[in-house]
Amino acid sequence: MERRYIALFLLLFGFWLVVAGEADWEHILVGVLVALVTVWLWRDLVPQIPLSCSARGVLLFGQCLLTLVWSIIESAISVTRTVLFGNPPIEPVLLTVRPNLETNWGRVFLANCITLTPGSVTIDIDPETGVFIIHALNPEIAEGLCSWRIIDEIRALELWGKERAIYAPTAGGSYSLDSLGTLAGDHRPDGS
Amino acid sequence: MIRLLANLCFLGSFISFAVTTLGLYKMPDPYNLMHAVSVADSVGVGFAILGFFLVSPSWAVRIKLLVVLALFWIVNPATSHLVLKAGFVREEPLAAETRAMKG
Repeated sequence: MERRYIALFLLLFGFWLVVAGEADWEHILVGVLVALVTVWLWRDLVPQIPLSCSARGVLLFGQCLLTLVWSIIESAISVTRTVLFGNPPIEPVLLTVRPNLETNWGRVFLANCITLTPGSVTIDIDPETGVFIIHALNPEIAEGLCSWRIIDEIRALELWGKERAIYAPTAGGSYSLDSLGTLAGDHRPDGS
Repeated sequence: MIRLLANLCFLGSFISFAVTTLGLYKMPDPYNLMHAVSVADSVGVGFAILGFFLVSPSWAVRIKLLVVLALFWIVNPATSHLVLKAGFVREEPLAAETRAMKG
């Protein structure tokens, strides 16, 4: 447990040094104080920080990023053609789809990827069923989302995390990858 | 050569922002406006940071640029989602030609 606190502190302090760009005693003192306060504020989340990582995990994540960057370029060209030449035309689609993902962090990651890709935005995710509501610029983009390769790659990351059980159990229950994600829609007044 | 590549990146960034600006006038509803904006948010910013990365004088600045890009690509989708979700919850009307589809 203590190792996680130290790891988080070092991560935050390193981030501070990178952003500050200077390493005189004033910057170091402020960085240490801010990092300590942030670790204290995040003390409930510390048990969920993974300590171990493997080459396979990094490779799987890198594969996701490559697919994402390629999709962003492809979609940007498509949206640019729509804006400049009207081809393909604007035919908005409200897509509901249930990707084969089980964990909340996997769903949030996919939602971020969808929104980052021009031409598609995630409006909502049902935390119970995992159904995504997506707004797409045209049916072509919407159909592409249904069979997007990154879904399988995120699924592979989910399975990798499950196999390794990289999160430490704590008193009163065990944390899993699933406990990391936000529950989209939890704030709904009717609980639907 | 590196300067030429950096200039091409800046040109790509400029074109992305120009397309976004044009898209703001062409899209029929707020939901579609977000698609135009995302071209600048994703590609425009990406190309600009890649260009700066190439001409940066030191690795300290390059790492900082990568951190900026990572933060941008994490925060930007979250805010786009929140804007659209707010519109959806408040029943902001969709463009007339919008149709529903199941995946």
